[in-house]
Amino acid sequence: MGRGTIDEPDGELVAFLRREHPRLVAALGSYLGDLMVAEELAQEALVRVAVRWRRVSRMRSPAGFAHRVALNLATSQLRRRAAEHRARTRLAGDALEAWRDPDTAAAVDLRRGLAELPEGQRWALVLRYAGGLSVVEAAEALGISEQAVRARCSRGIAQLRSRLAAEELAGEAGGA
Amino acid sequence: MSDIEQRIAQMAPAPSGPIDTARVWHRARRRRQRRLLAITASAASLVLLAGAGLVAAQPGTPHPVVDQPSNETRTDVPTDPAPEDPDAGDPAPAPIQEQQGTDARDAASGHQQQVMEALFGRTFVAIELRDDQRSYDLADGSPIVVAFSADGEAVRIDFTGGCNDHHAAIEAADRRLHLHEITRTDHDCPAELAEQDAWTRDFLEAHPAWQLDGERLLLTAGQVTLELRDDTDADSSEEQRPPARVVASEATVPGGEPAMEFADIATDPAGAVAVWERFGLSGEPPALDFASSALLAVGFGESGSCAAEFRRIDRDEGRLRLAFGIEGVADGEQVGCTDDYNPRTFVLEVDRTHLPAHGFVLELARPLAPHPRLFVLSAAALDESPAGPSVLDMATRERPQLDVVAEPSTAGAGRQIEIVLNNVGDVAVSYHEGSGFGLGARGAALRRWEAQRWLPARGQDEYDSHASLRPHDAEIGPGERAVLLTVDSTDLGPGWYRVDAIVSVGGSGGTAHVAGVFHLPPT
Repeated sequence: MGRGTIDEPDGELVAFLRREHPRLVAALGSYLGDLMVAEELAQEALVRVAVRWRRVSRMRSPAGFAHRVALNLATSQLRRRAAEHRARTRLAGDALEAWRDPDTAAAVDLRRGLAELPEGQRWALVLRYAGGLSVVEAAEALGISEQAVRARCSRGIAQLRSRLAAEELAGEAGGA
Repeated sequence: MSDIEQRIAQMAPAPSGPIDTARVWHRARRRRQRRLLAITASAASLVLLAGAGLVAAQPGTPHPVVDQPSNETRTDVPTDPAPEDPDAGDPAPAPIQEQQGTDARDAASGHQQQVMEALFGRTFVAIELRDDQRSYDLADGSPIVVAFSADGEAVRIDFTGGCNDHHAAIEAADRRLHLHEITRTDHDCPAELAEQDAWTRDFLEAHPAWQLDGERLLLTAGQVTLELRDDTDADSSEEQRPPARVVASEATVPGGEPAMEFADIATDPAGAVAVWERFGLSGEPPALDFASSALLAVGFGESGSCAAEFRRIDRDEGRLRLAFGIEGVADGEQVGCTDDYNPRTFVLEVDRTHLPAHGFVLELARPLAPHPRLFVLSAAALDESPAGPSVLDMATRERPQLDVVAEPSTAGAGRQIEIVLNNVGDVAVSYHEGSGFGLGARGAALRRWEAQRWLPARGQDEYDSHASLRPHDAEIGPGERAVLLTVDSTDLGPGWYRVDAIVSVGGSGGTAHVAGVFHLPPT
């Protein structure tokens, strides 16, 4: 018993979902430090894009829009997580700190360095280099000019390099 | 690209698998469909239908589109609405209790009884779907099934559109079925069945009128009629059993602690009483058949402006996934809710087939997304450890590979447990006085698995090691193993324990936080 055609997503959307999914997970994972949450939020962002695909597909940068949605989701997530963390720390010390990722020491240092950057610089670096977005796409995602994206990346890299160098020095001094 | 840029790129995680585009599309399509329904209904009430019909056929779709009915209480069936009724087609029905006076409630109560007597214990399978224009085909091999059961005074309904199982309470009034507290499984379905699932749910949420004619049940919403035949004998009631249902919902959490989530489970009457008391629930726990059900309590904070509701439970790779949404708001839909914390506990009766066959512990992870709030509960059999890795954290530039196990000691009349570190990498580690700042003078702490989390064991001081722990100095080269600590379990009660220790790594001041987990059975 057939029922005629089933409404299918257009090929352009499918290609977009496949292309942006790993980039979103990479950016969100780098920003949040939690792959599971990153995947959840990436999918939610893509669903929201798919709902508005007809409009989004005509935008200057559909990828930038998708990352902007993801950025908002991640910010909400962090706000909630921070509140919970404060409460849990108050009530149970460090007993609730969950082990997440068997990171190498270098990754731990880098993630810590990223986390200490101002939020704007952090997002710019994560979108550009973890997510692999172009300057145009990152500008769209962050709602700022391309010039501002370049400036944030430049300042972020400089600060990160300086922090990592200081930590390495401290590490060497400790081992001496 | 600079070295830092390269390092950020290399650190970025990859997805655990390719994206399921069909699933994304299905979710998007469902949300869009809900929007369209609302838009259609609004437009219809203004221009086209003028109160005449609740359902309009949409060319090209496999099922007729179902709009939500009016929020007015009516005594006629929707196939013959009063033409002068200007509100027909209003997409936002209010809870029926708020719309009725005493007489109407009495009538509703009588009708509830009527529904119970007529439909209780019966299962119906769809045989025809039609509107005033034409018939619609149903999906091959996966019929729409609707079953009715009783839960005390209430009537409940189980239904499926061919893939996921749905469960809801029914309030019956004006010869209509009003569904509440809908829960459902969330399996990936072929697009055709997913679409039929969604349609079935929309149809039943549209408060259809019901009419029983012998073996035939006619459900009608607007111009759409779903004809079903009694299939009770062919149905196995066990197969139709819902995975979970809400048995209580109260504004309470254990101890009134703010900004926390709690979960607890009971598999026998005594456990249910304990859960009831711990969560501060009123009255007594319901009498459940614990041979087939378990009682699961989940407490969290809900927004003061958006009431939470239970959406669904699902089991995935040994984990239970519980989803809670906001009343009247579709998953993923944006709403403005205050970010305050108001205690809320849901108590669910869960089908035990969703749980491990033996005992289990529950670990409540943080919600993954605000709407719906999705909790993941890891359910581990009691013969498995509630903790995973033996290296919890590392602060070192070197790359040690360590494994920590808890082993019964040959000494101590079976009451001693040794925490043994296996150094399987190529970096030497050591354990000695003062290496564990913050974990006691000897760098060790004892934790106990309580209330779904590792908490300091009774007697564990903030700075000193637990009295039951005896540390051993150890230098552990690559490929070597050594006992870090001995635990005297004489004064420890039954349960899961974890010994945390900080070991020194290599020669540059690095450390690793390691843990050994053991279980003490009841004596």
